[in-house]
Amino acid sequence: MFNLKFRAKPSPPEDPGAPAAAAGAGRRIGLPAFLDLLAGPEPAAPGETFLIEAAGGGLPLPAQILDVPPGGAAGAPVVFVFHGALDQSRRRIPAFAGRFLTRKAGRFATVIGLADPALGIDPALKLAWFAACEGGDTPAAIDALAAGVAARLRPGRVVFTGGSAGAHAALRHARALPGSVAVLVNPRMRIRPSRYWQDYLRLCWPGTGRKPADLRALVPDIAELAAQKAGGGTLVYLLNALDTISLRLATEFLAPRETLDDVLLQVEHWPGFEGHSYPQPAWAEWVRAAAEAPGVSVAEIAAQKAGAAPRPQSRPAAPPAAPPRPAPGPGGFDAADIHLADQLAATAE
Amino acid sequence: MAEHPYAALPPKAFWKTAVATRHYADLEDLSGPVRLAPSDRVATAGSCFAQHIGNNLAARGARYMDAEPAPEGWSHEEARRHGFGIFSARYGNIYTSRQLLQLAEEALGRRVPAIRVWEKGGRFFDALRPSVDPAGHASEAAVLRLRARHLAAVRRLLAELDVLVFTLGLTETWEASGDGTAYPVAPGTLAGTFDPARYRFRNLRYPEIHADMTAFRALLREINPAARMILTVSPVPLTATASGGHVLVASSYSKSTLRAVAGDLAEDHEDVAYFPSYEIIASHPGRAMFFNPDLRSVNLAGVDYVMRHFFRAAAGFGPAAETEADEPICDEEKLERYAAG
Repeated sequence: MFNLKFRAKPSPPEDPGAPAAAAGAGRRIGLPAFLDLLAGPEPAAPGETFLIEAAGGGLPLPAQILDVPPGGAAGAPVVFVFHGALDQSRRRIPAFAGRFLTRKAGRFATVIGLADPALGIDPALKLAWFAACEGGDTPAAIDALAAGVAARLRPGRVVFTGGSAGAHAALRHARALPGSVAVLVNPRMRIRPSRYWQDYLRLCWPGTGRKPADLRALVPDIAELAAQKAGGGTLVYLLNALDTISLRLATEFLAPRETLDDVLLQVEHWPGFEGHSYPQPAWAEWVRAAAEAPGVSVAEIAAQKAGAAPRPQSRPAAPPAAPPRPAPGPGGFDAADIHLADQLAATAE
Repeated sequence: MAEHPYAALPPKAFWKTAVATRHYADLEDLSGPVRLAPSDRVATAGSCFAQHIGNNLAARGARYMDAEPAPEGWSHEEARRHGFGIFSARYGNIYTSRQLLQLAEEALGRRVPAIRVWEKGGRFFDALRPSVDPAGHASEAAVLRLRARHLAAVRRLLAELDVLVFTLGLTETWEASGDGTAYPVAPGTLAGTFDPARYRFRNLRYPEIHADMTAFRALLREINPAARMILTVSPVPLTATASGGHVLVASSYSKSTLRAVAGDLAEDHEDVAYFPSYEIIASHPGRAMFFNPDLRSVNLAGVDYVMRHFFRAAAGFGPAAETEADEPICDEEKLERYAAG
């Protein structure tokens, strides 16, 4: 097992679009105590890093409570935020994304930032998709946290969000929590083949002798994600129109899906945002709309974002009436088909 | 530096540079130049996938031939339901090399199938294209009159086309025991009655397919010496197999055999080209991204991707006009209803 250490490095000036770095290793805390603290009258000060102990004794899960709405966390929406790839030579870990959400869109939710504990294994590691590694089962820890938060706080809505590679974890965990919504921004959910994947295999599973096929099963690739049932609620898929790689990956993810009824796809352009970037206000507004919409359907979230008056969950519209089926003719064939066949035969007499 | 045969090869010759390190949507040079110009009169025939090629040819301004248009006044839907406008003539799906050859022989007056009409529910169907008349006809005579007109259209088509795009679909077929006439579907499925004494299953092998296609080419060039062919292999797996094996393994046999024949014909004849629509859709680096959830039918993104490569290989065509894509019409899919569960 790895002895996980978070190294302290000088932090670069804060880039509001990048994950916020947290100082120090953080306070170790059990999941029940973390939930107590979250539900209490005075939650932890924003910016304090907690290392939530894993049930099986593996890697603790770094988390920060980035904001709690003025009325307290109970009953309010909860947003889990996942960071993308990190260059540890430039950024200290654990790092948390998402403080901008309530700064840009108002204090509408309890926002919990999560950091991938696997990055502490080696400074060369930039991305591990919040996946399991030899030292611990991070996905199980996140699912336990989300389920615990849902049970304890009874939030109106749980939203999982992440940009770039962070979208992978956001989608996975939204699917594990019924009724939740995933807000994915410029998703990069292709795992293989990539240098990141090779680094993950080499550094996170160095000596177990596990077969590559077993490890592949731990981190579903984009086609496998696309094939999975939705599970949760709507998937809000946000794309910058000038991020061509993410656009291509979107076709790869969306095309094979059995249905797109649960996908709210939005492609937009903003001057000054070219390539793999997305303006924080727009991201925050979508997360808020997902958190506050009266239901989790595409129509309700879209209407909420557009500022439409909330409306009750409506029953699905009745499908348009099918065209009247021609009356069966002789032999059970359609009378219309027989009529056309007779017309056709007459032209050959 | 040591010279060797691989030293001067272009990036497309190496898996790493051509496939492994590229996004699948960015593959290049999959096909050599295809001899097809906007001025060429193009006809299509073959399995379901050939319909996509025809639709795209028409949308891009090719001189796409329709030798057997629908009667005046029929709507687009009525016409398609009755087999018009799907291929360049109203022959329905031509899945096998044997069907193609026998159709050409019949159109040129060199063979007459012993069994041409099937019956169902008191109506009569053209056994060589039973899906084109969903309700059949009132009499056997009506079927034969329409077939005669159809054969005349096919004869005209073969004589006038510049390029035939033919998509090979299947090796498995049902044939008449008496004269070897190949049918697009098994008797008893769409119409007719299955009688083991009159019909038998045949899984065509490489030499038979190669011989069929060679004979067809000879017939075509006999009446149209300048005619060219572009062969493709449908990436759509079998709906069902009668071979006794697993349908996945049967699909692999079928597609690989057809692919081998098409490749050899293109290698041996200057007037025959092969376009790799099968590889583009079905190769494993695509991770099945171009298949619908049934893992069989090809999604629109896949069709677009194939056609992008096709028109890159065939220079001179404009962008596709915006049209609503029609769902392909496939006789073979009617076998699905016989699947258990």
